[in-house]
Amino acid sequence: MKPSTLWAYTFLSRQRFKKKMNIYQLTLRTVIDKTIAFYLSVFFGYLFMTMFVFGNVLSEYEEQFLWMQSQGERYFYLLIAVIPFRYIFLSFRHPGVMFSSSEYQLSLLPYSRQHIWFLSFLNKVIKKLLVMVFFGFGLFLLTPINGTLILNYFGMFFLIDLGMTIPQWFMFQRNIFIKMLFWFLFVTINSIAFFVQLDLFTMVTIIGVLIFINIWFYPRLFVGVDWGKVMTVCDYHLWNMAFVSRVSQVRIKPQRKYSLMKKLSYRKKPFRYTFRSIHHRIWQIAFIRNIEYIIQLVGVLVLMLAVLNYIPKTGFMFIGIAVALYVYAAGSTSFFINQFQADLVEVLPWDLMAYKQSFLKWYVIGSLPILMPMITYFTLHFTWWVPVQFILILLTGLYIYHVEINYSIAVLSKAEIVFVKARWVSFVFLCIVIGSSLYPMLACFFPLIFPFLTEQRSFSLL
Amino acid sequence: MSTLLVDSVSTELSKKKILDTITFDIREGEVLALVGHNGAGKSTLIKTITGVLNKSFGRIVINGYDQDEDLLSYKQYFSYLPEEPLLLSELTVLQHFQLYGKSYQINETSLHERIDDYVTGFELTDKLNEYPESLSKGMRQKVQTICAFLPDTPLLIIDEPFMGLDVYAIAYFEELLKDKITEGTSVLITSHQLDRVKNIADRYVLLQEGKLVQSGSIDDFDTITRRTE
Repeated sequence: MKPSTLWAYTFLSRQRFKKKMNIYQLTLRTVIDKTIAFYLSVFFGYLFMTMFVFGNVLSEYEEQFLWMQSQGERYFYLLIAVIPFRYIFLSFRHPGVMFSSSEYQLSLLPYSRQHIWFLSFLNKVIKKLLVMVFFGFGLFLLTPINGTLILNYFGMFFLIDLGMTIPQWFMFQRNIFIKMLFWFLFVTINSIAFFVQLDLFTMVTIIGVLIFINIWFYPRLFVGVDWGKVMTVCDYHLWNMAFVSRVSQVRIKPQRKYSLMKKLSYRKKPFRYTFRSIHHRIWQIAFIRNIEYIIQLVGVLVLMLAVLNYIPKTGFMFIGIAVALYVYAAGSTSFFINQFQADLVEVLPWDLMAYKQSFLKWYVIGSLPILMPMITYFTLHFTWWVPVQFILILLTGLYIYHVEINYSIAVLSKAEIVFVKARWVSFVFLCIVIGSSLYPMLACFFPLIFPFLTEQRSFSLL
Repeated sequence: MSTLLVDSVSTELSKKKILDTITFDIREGEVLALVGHNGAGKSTLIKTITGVLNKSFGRIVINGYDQDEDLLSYKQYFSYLPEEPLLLSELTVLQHFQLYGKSYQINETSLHERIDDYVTGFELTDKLNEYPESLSKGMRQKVQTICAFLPDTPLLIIDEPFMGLDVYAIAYFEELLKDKITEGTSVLITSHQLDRVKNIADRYVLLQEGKLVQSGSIDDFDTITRRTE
C-alpha cells in the first residue's frame, strides 16, 4: 500500500508547530514569570474592557472610520490593480509557498514532491483564509465600516493572494528580467486602466490576466526549480523568530542570498585593486540582498511625505521631513552595521573609514526617492525661501548620516566614544528644519552646520 | 610575548555557559591543537576568538592587541580558515582573493604572486572566474584555504581544515602550513583527524563540556575518550 502523503505532511507540520510552540514557551518563560503574566493579563484585560466594552473609544473615531470607508469605496479598483506589485517585490525573497528542507527531506522518502508542494500551498491558502476571516470579522464587529465593503476587500486580498502565489513561485526561480517583465505587464495594465477610467475594465483585466498567468504557469511549476535556494530561504523564514532572537540574543544569520545580477559577464571581471572598487561591490551585494528592506524603509518614508503633500498645514510636511531624515539615517545605520555581522566580511579586518566613504554613495542613491515628494512639495509651495530651506534639509540629512555612521563605527570597533553632543546637534538642526516652516528665516542658519559637519567628516577612532 | 593569549574566557549562548574560564596561550611559531568531542566547545572558542561570538568574560589578546580595546587592529593580526567555507555567492574566486588582499593590505604584486602559487598548488587555475556555486565542496574549501593563507598574519586559526579535501590537496595544505610555521606564524588548529594533528602540533588543549580539562605537549597526548565515559 502506498504511504499517505497527507499523513506524512500533517505529521511534519504538527511536529514543527509543536517545536515552535516549545521554543516560544521557553523564551516566554525566560522573560515573563507567573506574577508578571498575571499583571499583564489584568492590564490588557482592563485595557480591552475600557476601550471596547465600557468605553466609547471606537465610537469617538466613527467619523474617521466613515472617512476610511468612503476612501475604501473610492479606491477599491485602484488597489486591485496595485496589489500584484507587492508579490513581485516579495518574489525577490520568498517563493510564496513554504518548502523547507524538511519538506524536501520528506520528498526523498516515497512521497511525491509535487503532492507535498500542493499540500503546502493548500496549507498557506487555509491559513490566509482563517487570518482574513478573523480580521474581517473583527473589523465588522468593532467598527462601523460597512460589512459588504469589508467582505469585498478581504475577498479581493484573498483572491489576489491566491492568484499571485504561482506567479510568485515562478518569479522567485527566475532572474530579474522575468520579474521586470511582470512589472511591465502590471504597469501596462495600470496605465491602460488609468486612461480608460473604467473600474469594471480594471477588475476584469486583472482577474483575466491572473487566470491566464496561472493556467500558463501551472504545467511549468516544477521546471527549473532551484530547490536549494527555495529550501535555504524557507528555512530562514521558518526559524527566524524575531522575538526568540531578541530574547536569546542568538542571531539567525540571513540566508545565503542569490544575486540576480551575477550572471552578467562584466561582474566576473577582476576588481581594480582599490578599496573603492571592492567596497562598491560589497555594498552593491548588500543593497541587492536587502532590497526588500530598503524598499520598505524608503517606501514608507516616500508614502508618508507624499500623503503630507496633501495636508494643507505647512508644519506637518516639515515635521515629516525631519522624521524622514532621522529614520532614513537610523535605518541606513542598521544596514551598515549588519554588513559586518554576517558572512565573510565578519571575519575579515575592517577599514571602517574606507567602508564609510564608499557607503555614502549608496546612502545618497537610496535617498533619491525620498527627495521626490519633497521636491514636489517645494515646487507646489514655492517661495524664495525654498532654496535655503532645501539646503538646510540636505545639510542636516548629511550631518545626521555622518553622526549615525560614526556612532555605528564606534559600536563595531568597540570604541568608547560618546556621541551625546553630536546627537544634540542633530536634534537642534532637526528642530531648525521644523521651525523653518513657520519662520523660514531660520533656514539661513544653515552655515552653522558646516563646522559640525567638518568635525564629523574627519571623525577618527584614534 | 604570546601571539595569542586567551585569559579566563567564558562565552554564553542563550544564558547558558558554553565556555567556562578558558585560559591558554600560543607563542610565536607554535602550533596548538584544540581537541575535544563534538560539542566540547572548540568551534565556539574559535568563534569567540575571531569575534563572531561575544565573550561574556575574560580577555583575548593577539600580538599585544586586546579584542576589547583595539578590535580593528586585533582583526588585522589573525587569519581564519572556517570549517564551512564562508564565500560570498556574488564574488568570483579571484574577487574573493582580492577582497582578502585589500582587507589585509597586501600589495597587488605580492598578492598576485601568492595567488599564482596557491591556485597552481591547489589545481584551481581554471576556476578563478567562477562563482562558488559552480565549484564542488572540496574546491570551495580549497578557495577558502587559499584566502586564509594569503595574508602574513602572526596567527592562523584553522577549524577542521581537512574536511572535503582530497589527498593531494591535504598534502599541499600541510606543506603550506609548514612553510608558514617556519616563517614564525602561530597556529591554532582544531580537527577530528587526531593523527594528522599530532604530526603538525607542538602542544594541545583538551576541551570537555566547555572546560579546559587538559593541556600539554602533543607527545603526551594519547587520544580523547568516549564522550559518555
